[in-house]
Amino acid sequence: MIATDAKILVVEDESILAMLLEDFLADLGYAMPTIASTVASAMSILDTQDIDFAILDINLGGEQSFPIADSLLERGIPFIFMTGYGAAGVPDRLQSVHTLQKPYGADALKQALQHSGSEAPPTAH
Amino acid sequence: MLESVNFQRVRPVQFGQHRDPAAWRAYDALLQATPDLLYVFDLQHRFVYANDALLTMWGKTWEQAAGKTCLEIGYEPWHAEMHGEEIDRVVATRAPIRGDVPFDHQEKGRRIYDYIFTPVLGTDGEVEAVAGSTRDVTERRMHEQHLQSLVHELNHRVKNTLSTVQSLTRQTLDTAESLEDGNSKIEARLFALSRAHDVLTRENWRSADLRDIVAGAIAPYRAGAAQRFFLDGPPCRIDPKRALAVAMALHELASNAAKYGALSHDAGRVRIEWKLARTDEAEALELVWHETGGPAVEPPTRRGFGARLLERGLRKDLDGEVELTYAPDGLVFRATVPLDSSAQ
Repeated sequence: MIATDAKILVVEDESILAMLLEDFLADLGYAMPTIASTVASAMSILDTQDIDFAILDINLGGEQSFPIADSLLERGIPFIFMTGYGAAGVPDRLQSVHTLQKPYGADALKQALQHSGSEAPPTAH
Repeated sequence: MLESVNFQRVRPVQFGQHRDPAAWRAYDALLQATPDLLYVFDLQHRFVYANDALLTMWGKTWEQAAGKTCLEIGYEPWHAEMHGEEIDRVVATRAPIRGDVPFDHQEKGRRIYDYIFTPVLGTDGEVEAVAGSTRDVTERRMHEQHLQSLVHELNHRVKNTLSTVQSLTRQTLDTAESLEDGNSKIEARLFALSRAHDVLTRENWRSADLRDIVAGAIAPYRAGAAQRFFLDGPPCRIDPKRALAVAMALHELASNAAKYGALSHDAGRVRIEWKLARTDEAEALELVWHETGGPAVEPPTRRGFGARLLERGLRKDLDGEVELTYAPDGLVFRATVPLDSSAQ
Protein backbone atom coordinates (compact mmCIF):
# COMPACT_ATOMS: atom_id res chain seq x y z
CA MET A 1 0.00 0.00 0.00
CA ILE A 2 1.42 3.33 -1.05
CA ALA A 3 0.74 5.95 1.64
CA THR A 4 -1.22 9.00 0.53
CA ASP A 5 1.62 11.31 1.57
CA ALA A 6 4.09 9.40 -0.64
CA LYS A 7 6.16 11.45 -3.05
CA ILE A 8 5.21 10.05 -6.43
CA LEU A 9 7.12 10.37 -9.68
CA VAL A 10 5.06 10.06 -12.85
CA VAL A 11 6.98 9.49 -16.08
CA GLU A 12 4.66 10.20 -19.02
CA ASP A 13 5.52 12.05 -22.20
CA GLU A 14 2.02 13.13 -23.18
CA SER A 15 0.72 15.89 -20.98
CA ILE A 16 -2.94 15.15 -21.59
CA LEU A 17 -2.33 11.67 -20.19
CA ALA A 18 -0.22 13.00 -17.30
CA MET A 19 -3.10 15.33 -16.41
CA LEU A 20 -5.50 12.40 -16.23
CA LEU A 21 -3.17 10.54 -13.88
CA GLU A 22 -2.79 13.67 -11.73
CA ASP A 23 -6.57 13.85 -11.44
CA PHE A 24 -6.87 10.19 -10.53
CA LEU A 25 -4.17 10.54 -7.87
CA ALA A 26 -5.84 13.66 -6.46
CA ASP A 27 -9.20 11.84 -6.35
CA LEU A 28 -7.56 9.00 -4.43
CA GLY A 29 -6.19 11.49 -1.90
CA TYR A 30 -2.57 11.55 -3.08
CA ALA A 31 -0.39 14.64 -3.23
CA MET A 32 0.48 16.23 -6.58
CA PRO A 33 3.07 14.01 -8.29
CA THR A 34 6.32 15.12 -9.87
CA ILE A 35 6.10 14.71 -13.65
CA ALA A 36 8.95 13.79 -15.98
CA SER A 37 8.60 13.20 -19.72
CA THR A 38 12.01 11.79 -20.65
CA VAL A 39 14.46 9.22 -19.28
CA ALA A 40 17.03 11.97 -18.67
CA SER A 41 14.66 14.20 -16.69
CA ALA A 42 13.38 11.25 -14.63
CA MET A 43 16.97 10.21 -13.82
CA SER A 44 17.86 13.72 -12.71
CA ILE A 45 14.75 13.86 -10.49
CA LEU A 46 15.76 10.53 -8.89
CA ASP A 47 19.22 11.98 -8.25
CA THR A 48 17.96 15.16 -6.62
CA GLN A 49 14.62 14.37 -4.97
CA ASP A 50 13.29 11.86 -2.50
CA ILE A 51 10.80 9.71 -4.36
CA ASP A 52 8.73 6.99 -2.63
CA PHE A 53 6.93 5.51 -5.61
CA ALA A 54 6.96 5.82 -9.41
CA ILE A 55 4.52 5.24 -12.26
CA LEU A 56 6.29 4.75 -15.60
CA ASP A 57 4.88 4.92 -19.09
CA ILE A 58 6.95 2.42 -21.09
CA ASN A 59 7.12 4.22 -24.43
CA LEU A 60 8.37 7.80 -24.06
CA GLY A 61 8.11 9.17 -27.59
CA GLY A 62 10.60 6.71 -29.05
CA GLU A 63 12.73 5.89 -26.00
CA GLN A 64 11.75 3.27 -23.46
CA SER A 65 11.63 3.81 -19.72
CA PHE A 66 13.43 0.58 -18.72
CA PRO A 67 16.64 2.39 -17.64
CA ILE A 68 14.51 4.31 -15.13
CA ALA A 69 13.03 1.00 -13.94
CA ASP A 70 16.51 -0.43 -13.40
CA SER A 71 17.54 2.66 -11.46
CA LEU A 72 14.40 2.40 -9.29
CA LEU A 73 15.22 -1.25 -8.56
CA GLU A 74 18.74 -0.32 -7.51
CA ARG A 75 17.37 2.35 -5.20
CA GLY A 76 14.71 0.00 -3.80
CA ILE A 77 11.88 2.34 -4.84
CA PRO A 78 8.64 0.51 -5.73
CA PHE A 79 7.05 1.32 -9.08
CA ILE A 80 4.53 0.21 -11.67
CA PHE A 81 4.34 0.48 -15.45
CA MET A 82 1.52 1.81 -17.56
CA THR A 83 1.37 1.07 -21.26
CA GLY A 84 -0.80 0.42 -24.26
CA TYR A 85 1.33 -2.64 -25.11
CA GLY A 86 0.34 -4.69 -22.05
CA ALA A 87 2.86 -6.83 -20.21
CA ALA A 88 4.12 -8.22 -23.55
CA GLY A 89 6.36 -5.18 -24.04
CA VAL A 90 8.14 -5.65 -20.71
CA PRO A 91 11.53 -7.44 -20.72
CA ASP A 92 11.83 -10.66 -18.71
CA ARG A 93 13.78 -9.12 -15.86
CA LEU A 94 10.91 -6.70 -15.21
CA GLN A 95 8.01 -9.10 -15.80
CA SER A 96 7.04 -9.16 -12.13
CA VAL A 97 6.42 -5.40 -12.07
CA HIS A 98 2.71 -4.58 -12.08
CA THR A 99 1.51 -3.12 -15.39
CA LEU A 100 -1.50 -0.86 -15.81
CA GLN A 101 -2.99 -1.40 -19.24
CA LYS A 102 -3.98 1.86 -20.96
CA PRO A 103 -6.62 3.07 -20.95
CA TYR A 104 -7.14 2.42 -17.25
CA GLY A 105 -9.63 3.74 -14.71
CA ALA A 106 -9.25 5.10 -11.20
CA ASP A 107 -10.16 1.69 -9.73
CA ALA A 108 -7.34 -0.11 -11.53
CA LEU A 109 -4.90 2.57 -10.36
CA LYS A 110 -6.21 2.31 -6.79
CA GLN A 111 -5.69 -1.45 -6.77
CA ALA A 112 -2.20 -1.10 -8.19
CA LEU A 113 -1.30 1.43 -5.47
CA GLN A 114 -2.79 -0.79 -2.76
CA HIS A 115 -0.77 -3.79 -3.84
CA SER A 116 2.48 -1.97 -4.48
CA GLY A 117 5.20 -1.69 -1.91
CA SER A 118 3.82 -4.66 0.06
CA GLU A 119 5.62 -7.30 -1.97
CA ALA A 120 9.33 -7.60 -2.57
CA PRO A 121 10.41 -5.91 -5.79
CA PRO A 122 12.42 -7.94 -8.31
CA THR A 123 16.11 -8.00 -7.55
CA ALA A 124 18.36 -5.54 -9.30
CA HIS A 125 20.78 -6.79 -11.95
CA MET B 1 18.74 -46.09 -60.85
CA LEU B 2 20.33 -42.69 -60.65
CA GLU B 3 23.62 -43.98 -59.27
CA SER B 4 24.37 -45.15 -62.77
CA VAL B 5 24.42 -41.59 -64.11
CA ASN B 6 27.87 -40.39 -65.08
CA PHE B 7 28.32 -37.09 -63.21
CA GLN B 8 31.43 -36.05 -65.09
CA ARG B 9 29.51 -35.34 -68.24
CA VAL B 10 27.35 -32.40 -69.12
CA ARG B 11 24.52 -32.18 -66.66
CA PRO B 12 21.03 -31.70 -68.07
CA VAL B 13 21.30 -33.68 -71.25
CA GLN B 14 22.95 -36.53 -69.45
CA PHE B 15 20.44 -36.44 -66.60
CA GLY B 16 17.47 -36.75 -68.93
CA GLN B 17 19.07 -38.50 -71.84
CA HIS B 18 17.16 -41.74 -71.64
CA ARG B 19 13.83 -39.87 -71.74
CA ASP B 20 12.31 -37.95 -74.61
CA PRO B 21 15.03 -35.36 -75.44
CA ALA B 22 12.57 -32.66 -76.58
CA ALA B 23 10.54 -32.99 -73.39
CA TRP B 24 13.71 -32.80 -71.31
CA ARG B 25 14.86 -29.64 -73.09
CA ALA B 26 11.52 -28.03 -72.24
CA TYR B 27 11.75 -29.14 -68.59
CA ASP B 28 15.31 -27.91 -68.39
CA ALA B 29 14.32 -24.51 -69.77
CA LEU B 30 11.71 -24.27 -67.02
CA LEU B 31 14.13 -25.40 -64.33
CA GLN B 32 16.67 -22.80 -65.43
CA ALA B 33 14.17 -19.98 -65.79
CA THR B 34 12.93 -19.96 -62.20
CA PRO B 35 14.70 -17.93 -59.52
CA ASP B 36 14.04 -20.84 -57.11
CA LEU B 37 16.85 -23.28 -56.36
CA LEU B 38 16.07 -26.73 -57.82
CA TYR B 39 18.11 -29.87 -57.26
CA VAL B 40 18.04 -33.64 -56.93
CA PHE B 41 19.86 -35.78 -54.37
CA ASP B 42 20.63 -39.46 -54.89
CA LEU B 43 20.12 -41.88 -52.00
CA GLN B 44 23.70 -41.20 -50.83
CA HIS B 45 22.84 -37.50 -50.34
CA ARG B 46 24.86 -36.48 -53.42
CA PHE B 47 23.75 -33.75 -55.79
CA VAL B 48 22.86 -35.28 -59.16
CA TYR B 49 21.18 -32.15 -60.45
CA ALA B 50 21.41 -28.44 -59.61
CA ASN B 51 19.87 -25.60 -61.62
CA ASP B 52 21.72 -22.39 -62.41
CA ALA B 53 20.10 -20.46 -59.55
CA LEU B 54 21.59 -22.95 -57.07
CA LEU B 55 25.00 -22.95 -58.77
CA THR B 56 24.99 -19.14 -58.61
CA MET B 57 24.14 -19.25 -54.93
CA TRP B 58 27.06 -21.57 -54.33
CA GLY B 59 29.34 -19.69 -56.70
CA LYS B 60 30.25 -23.00 -58.35
CA THR B 61 30.05 -24.65 -61.76
CA TRP B 62 28.19 -27.91 -62.16
CA GLU B 63 31.52 -29.67 -62.72
CA GLN B 64 32.64 -28.49 -59.26
CA ALA B 65 29.40 -29.58 -57.59
CA ALA B 66 28.36 -32.76 -59.41
CA GLY B 67 28.16 -35.82 -57.19
CA LYS B 68 29.10 -33.96 -54.03
CA THR B 69 27.23 -33.98 -50.74
CA CYS B 70 26.29 -30.76 -48.89
CA LEU B 71 29.29 -31.22 -46.60
CA GLU B 72 31.65 -31.64 -49.57
CA ILE B 73 30.23 -28.53 -51.16
CA GLY B 74 31.07 -26.56 -48.05
CA TYR B 75 27.90 -26.46 -45.96
CA GLU B 76 28.53 -26.20 -42.23
CA PRO B 77 28.50 -29.68 -40.63
CA TRP B 78 25.24 -29.12 -38.67
CA HIS B 79 23.55 -27.93 -41.85
CA ALA B 80 24.80 -30.82 -43.98
CA GLU B 81 23.84 -33.28 -41.26
CA MET B 82 20.35 -31.79 -41.01
CA HIS B 83 19.74 -32.17 -44.75
CA GLY B 84 21.20 -35.69 -44.67
CA GLU B 85 18.69 -36.69 -42.00
CA GLU B 86 15.88 -35.02 -43.94
CA ILE B 87 16.75 -36.90 -47.13
CA ASP B 88 16.74 -40.20 -45.18
CA ARG B 89 13.38 -39.30 -43.66
CA VAL B 90 11.87 -38.55 -47.09
CA VAL B 91 13.17 -41.89 -48.37
CA ALA B 92 11.84 -43.77 -45.33
CA THR B 93 8.41 -42.09 -45.19
CA ARG B 94 7.96 -41.35 -48.93
CA ALA B 95 6.51 -38.05 -47.79
CA PRO B 96 7.80 -34.55 -48.49
CA ILE B 97 9.31 -32.40 -45.74
CA ARG B 98 9.52 -28.65 -45.48
CA GLY B 99 11.88 -26.39 -43.57
CA ASP B 100 13.61 -23.05 -43.54
CA VAL B 101 17.22 -22.20 -42.97
CA PRO B 102 19.59 -19.23 -43.25
CA PHE B 103 22.41 -19.58 -45.77
CA ASP B 104 25.09 -17.33 -47.22
CA HIS B 105 24.41 -16.61 -50.88
CA GLN B 106 27.68 -16.13 -52.75
CA GLU B 107 26.52 -12.76 -54.15
CA LYS B 108 23.70 -11.57 -51.90
CA GLY B 109 25.03 -12.52 -48.47
CA ARG B 110 22.95 -14.12 -45.75
CA ARG B 111 19.43 -15.01 -46.89
CA ILE B 112 16.55 -17.01 -45.46
CA TYR B 113 15.53 -20.04 -47.53
CA ASP B 114 12.30 -22.05 -47.42
CA TYR B 115 12.77 -25.54 -48.88
CA ILE B 116 10.79 -28.64 -49.73
CA PHE B 117 12.35 -32.11 -50.24
CA THR B 118 10.07 -34.50 -52.03
CA PRO B 119 10.49 -38.21 -52.99
CA VAL B 120 11.06 -39.24 -56.63
CA LEU B 121 9.48 -42.66 -57.12
CA GLY B 122 10.90 -45.13 -59.61
CA THR B 123 8.82 -47.41 -61.81
CA ASP B 124 9.03 -50.06 -59.09
CA GLY B 125 7.38 -47.64 -56.61
CA GLU B 126 10.54 -47.28 -54.55
CA VAL B 127 12.11 -43.92 -53.79
CA GLU B 128 14.99 -43.54 -56.23
CA ALA B 129 15.96 -39.94 -55.51
CA VAL B 130 14.92 -36.88 -53.53
CA ALA B 131 14.06 -33.69 -55.42
CA GLY B 132 14.33 -30.33 -53.72
CA SER B 133 12.98 -26.88 -54.30
CA THR B 134 14.21 -23.89 -52.31
CA ARG B 135 12.89 -20.36 -52.33
CA ASP B 136 14.54 -17.18 -51.03
CA VAL B 137 11.98 -15.83 -48.55
CA THR B 138 14.17 -13.12 -47.01
CA GLU B 139 12.03 -10.25 -48.29
CA ARG B 140 8.82 -11.95 -47.21
CA ARG B 141 10.22 -12.51 -43.74
CA MET B 142 11.26 -8.88 -43.51
CA HIS B 143 7.79 -7.78 -44.62
CA GLU B 144 6.23 -10.04 -42.00
CA GLN B 145 8.43 -8.58 -39.28
CA HIS B 146 7.72 -5.06 -40.49
CA LEU B 147 4.00 -5.78 -40.50
CA GLN B 148 4.24 -7.19 -37.00
CA SER B 149 5.97 -4.07 -35.74
CA LEU B 150 3.38 -1.88 -37.47
CA VAL B 151 0.59 -3.78 -35.74
CA HIS B 152 2.34 -3.29 -32.39
CA GLU B 153 2.83 0.38 -33.12
CA LEU B 154 -0.77 0.80 -34.21
CA ASN B 155 -2.02 -0.97 -31.10
CA HIS B 156 0.05 1.32 -28.94
CA ARG B 157 -1.21 4.38 -30.76
CA VAL B 158 -4.83 3.30 -30.51
CA LYS B 159 -4.53 2.66 -26.77
CA ASN B 160 -2.81 5.99 -26.24
CA THR B 161 -5.44 7.77 -28.29
CA LEU B 162 -8.20 6.11 -26.27
CA SER B 163 -6.44 7.29 -23.10
CA THR B 164 -6.24 10.80 -24.56
CA VAL B 165 -9.97 10.72 -25.28
CA GLN B 166 -10.60 9.46 -21.75
CA SER B 167 -8.56 12.33 -20.34
CA LEU B 168 -10.20 15.01 -22.53
CA THR B 169 -13.68 13.75 -21.70
CA ARG B 170 -13.11 13.53 -18.00
CA GLN B 171 -11.45 16.89 -17.67
CA THR B 172 -14.02 18.60 -19.87
CA LEU B 173 -16.95 17.18 -17.89
CA ASP B 174 -15.29 18.11 -14.58
CA THR B 175 -15.47 21.80 -15.43
CA ALA B 176 -18.36 21.93 -17.91
CA GLU B 177 -21.04 24.53 -17.22
CA SER B 178 -23.77 22.22 -18.46
CA LEU B 179 -24.19 18.92 -20.21
CA GLU B 180 -24.61 20.77 -23.49
CA ASP B 181 -21.47 22.82 -22.89
CA GLY B 182 -19.53 19.65 -22.03
CA ASN B 183 -20.86 17.87 -25.07
CA SER B 184 -19.88 20.57 -27.54
CA LYS B 185 -16.43 21.05 -25.96
CA ILE B 186 -15.68 17.32 -26.04
CA GLU B 187 -16.74 17.17 -29.67
CA ALA B 188 -14.64 20.20 -30.64
CA ARG B 189 -11.59 18.75 -28.86
CA LEU B 190 -12.00 15.36 -30.52
CA PHE B 191 -12.26 17.05 -33.92
CA ALA B 192 -9.12 19.08 -33.21
CA LEU B 193 -7.30 15.87 -32.29
CA SER B 194 -8.64 14.23 -35.43
CA ARG B 195 -7.45 17.07 -37.70
CA ALA B 196 -3.97 16.85 -36.20
CA HIS B 197 -4.05 13.09 -36.85
CA ASP B 198 -4.98 13.82 -40.47
CA VAL B 199 -1.89 15.97 -40.92
CA LEU B 200 0.34 13.36 -39.28
CA THR B 201 -1.19 10.50 -41.26
CA ARG B 202 -0.46 12.32 -44.52
CA GLU B 203 3.19 12.41 -43.41
CA ASN B 204 3.24 8.78 -42.22
CA TRP B 205 3.56 9.96 -38.61
CA ARG B 206 7.17 10.99 -39.11
CA SER B 207 6.76 14.71 -38.66
CA ALA B 208 4.44 17.51 -39.66
CA ASP B 209 4.80 20.96 -41.13
CA LEU B 210 3.90 23.54 -38.52
CA ARG B 211 1.79 25.56 -40.97
CA ASP B 212 -0.40 22.51 -41.68
CA ILE B 213 -0.84 21.91 -37.96
CA VAL B 214 -1.73 25.58 -37.36
CA ALA B 215 -4.16 25.59 -40.28
CA GLY B 216 -5.83 22.39 -39.04
CA ALA B 217 -6.19 23.72 -35.51
CA ILE B 218 -7.88 26.98 -36.49
CA ALA B 219 -9.88 25.59 -39.43
CA PRO B 220 -13.35 25.76 -37.79
CA TYR B 221 -12.75 29.36 -36.69
CA ARG B 222 -11.22 30.50 -39.94
CA ALA B 223 -14.16 29.45 -42.13
CA GLY B 224 -15.78 32.61 -43.45
CA ALA B 225 -13.40 34.75 -41.40
CA ALA B 226 -10.06 34.08 -43.04
CA GLN B 227 -9.09 37.76 -42.95
CA ARG B 228 -9.16 37.69 -39.15
CA PHE B 229 -6.20 35.39 -39.00
CA PHE B 230 -2.67 36.32 -39.96
CA LEU B 231 -0.20 33.45 -40.24
CA ASP B 232 3.48 34.01 -40.77
CA GLY B 233 6.47 31.79 -40.38
CA PRO B 234 9.08 29.75 -42.25
CA PRO B 235 8.70 26.07 -43.15
CA CYS B 236 9.28 24.12 -39.96
CA ARG B 237 8.96 20.40 -39.25
CA ILE B 238 7.99 19.17 -35.81
CA ASP B 239 7.75 15.64 -34.43
CA PRO B 240 4.35 13.94 -33.95
CA LYS B 241 4.19 14.43 -30.18
CA ARG B 242 4.83 18.15 -30.40
CA ALA B 243 2.57 18.46 -33.42
CA LEU B 244 -0.32 17.05 -31.39
CA ALA B 245 0.53 19.27 -28.43
CA VAL B 246 0.68 22.43 -30.59
CA ALA B 247 -2.56 21.45 -32.35
CA MET B 248 -4.41 20.95 -29.08
CA ALA B 249 -2.99 24.19 -27.64
CA LEU B 250 -4.00 26.25 -30.68
CA HIS B 251 -7.44 24.68 -30.64
CA GLU B 252 -7.91 25.74 -27.01
CA LEU B 253 -6.70 29.26 -27.82
CA ALA B 254 -8.99 29.55 -30.84
CA SER B 255 -12.01 28.23 -28.99
CA ASN B 256 -11.32 30.58 -26.08
CA ALA B 257 -10.85 33.52 -28.47
CA ALA B 258 -14.16 32.74 -30.17
CA LYS B 259 -15.97 32.74 -26.85
CA TYR B 260 -14.30 35.49 -24.87
CA GLY B 261 -11.42 36.93 -26.87
CA ALA B 262 -10.60 38.58 -30.17
CA LEU B 263 -12.77 36.27 -32.25
CA SER B 264 -15.87 37.19 -30.23
CA HIS B 265 -15.67 40.72 -31.73
CA ASP B 266 -15.94 41.67 -35.40
CA ALA B 267 -12.85 43.88 -35.11
CA GLY B 268 -10.73 41.26 -33.38
CA ARG B 269 -7.69 39.74 -35.07
CA VAL B 270 -5.31 36.90 -34.30
CA ARG B 271 -1.69 36.83 -35.42
CA ILE B 272 0.03 33.47 -35.32
CA GLU B 273 3.72 33.89 -35.97
CA TRP B 274 6.65 31.59 -35.65
CA LYS B 275 10.36 31.78 -36.27
CA LEU B 276 13.40 29.62 -35.84
CA ALA B 277 16.11 30.73 -33.47
CA ARG B 278 19.42 29.20 -32.54
CA THR B 279 20.20 28.93 -28.84
CA ASP B 280 23.26 27.14 -27.45
CA GLU B 281 23.92 24.76 -30.32
CA ALA B 282 20.25 23.78 -30.53
CA GLU B 283 17.59 25.11 -32.84
CA ALA B 284 14.41 26.35 -31.22
CA LEU B 285 11.00 27.32 -32.51
CA GLU B 286 9.29 30.41 -31.13
CA LEU B 287 5.56 30.38 -31.64
CA VAL B 288 3.35 33.34 -30.71
CA TRP B 289 -0.43 33.58 -30.68
CA HIS B 290 -1.35 37.25 -30.36
CA GLU B 291 -4.92 38.54 -30.13
CA THR B 292 -5.80 42.17 -30.79
CA GLY B 293 -8.98 44.20 -31.07
CA GLY B 294 -11.00 41.98 -28.78
CA PRO B 295 -12.62 42.79 -25.45
CA ALA B 296 -10.44 43.29 -22.41
CA VAL B 297 -9.38 39.87 -21.23
CA GLU B 298 -9.14 38.59 -17.74
CA PRO B 299 -7.59 35.40 -16.52
CA PRO B 300 -10.20 32.66 -16.32
CA THR B 301 -11.52 32.02 -12.86
CA ARG B 302 -12.09 28.35 -13.47
CA ARG B 303 -9.15 26.13 -14.17
CA GLY B 304 -10.53 24.39 -17.19
CA PHE B 305 -8.83 21.84 -19.37
CA GLY B 306 -7.68 24.47 -21.86
CA ALA B 307 -5.86 26.71 -19.39
CA ARG B 308 -4.38 23.72 -17.66
CA LEU B 309 -3.13 22.26 -20.92
CA LEU B 310 -1.68 25.57 -22.08
CA GLU B 311 0.09 26.55 -18.92
CA ARG B 312 1.33 23.33 -17.41
CA GLY B 313 0.85 20.30 -19.53
CA LEU B 314 2.17 21.78 -22.72
CA ARG B 315 5.47 22.74 -21.14
CA LYS B 316 6.14 19.02 -20.66
CA ASP B 317 5.06 17.98 -24.15
CA LEU B 318 6.98 20.72 -25.86
CA ASP B 319 9.90 20.34 -23.49
CA GLY B 320 10.25 24.09 -23.74
CA GLU B 321 8.85 27.25 -22.22
CA VAL B 322 5.30 28.50 -22.46
CA GLU B 323 3.89 31.81 -21.34
CA LEU B 324 0.25 32.83 -21.28
CA THR B 325 -0.37 36.55 -20.76
CA TYR B 326 -3.83 37.98 -20.26
CA ALA B 327 -2.88 41.46 -21.55
CA PRO B 328 -5.71 44.05 -21.53
CA ASP B 329 -5.63 44.44 -25.33
CA GLY B 330 -5.66 40.74 -26.01
CA LEU B 331 -4.34 37.40 -24.93
CA VAL B 332 -0.76 36.50 -25.83
CA PHE B 333 0.56 32.95 -25.80
CA ARG B 334 4.23 32.28 -26.41
CA ALA B 335 5.92 28.92 -26.67
CA THR B 336 9.61 28.25 -27.17
CA VAL B 337 10.22 24.72 -28.33
CA PRO B 338 13.64 23.12 -28.81
CA LEU B 339 13.47 21.31 -32.14
CA ASP B 340 14.21 17.65 -32.42
CA SER B 341 16.76 17.29 -35.19
CA SER B 342 15.24 13.91 -36.15
CA ALA B 343 12.02 15.62 -37.28
CA GLN B 344 13.84 17.88 -39.72
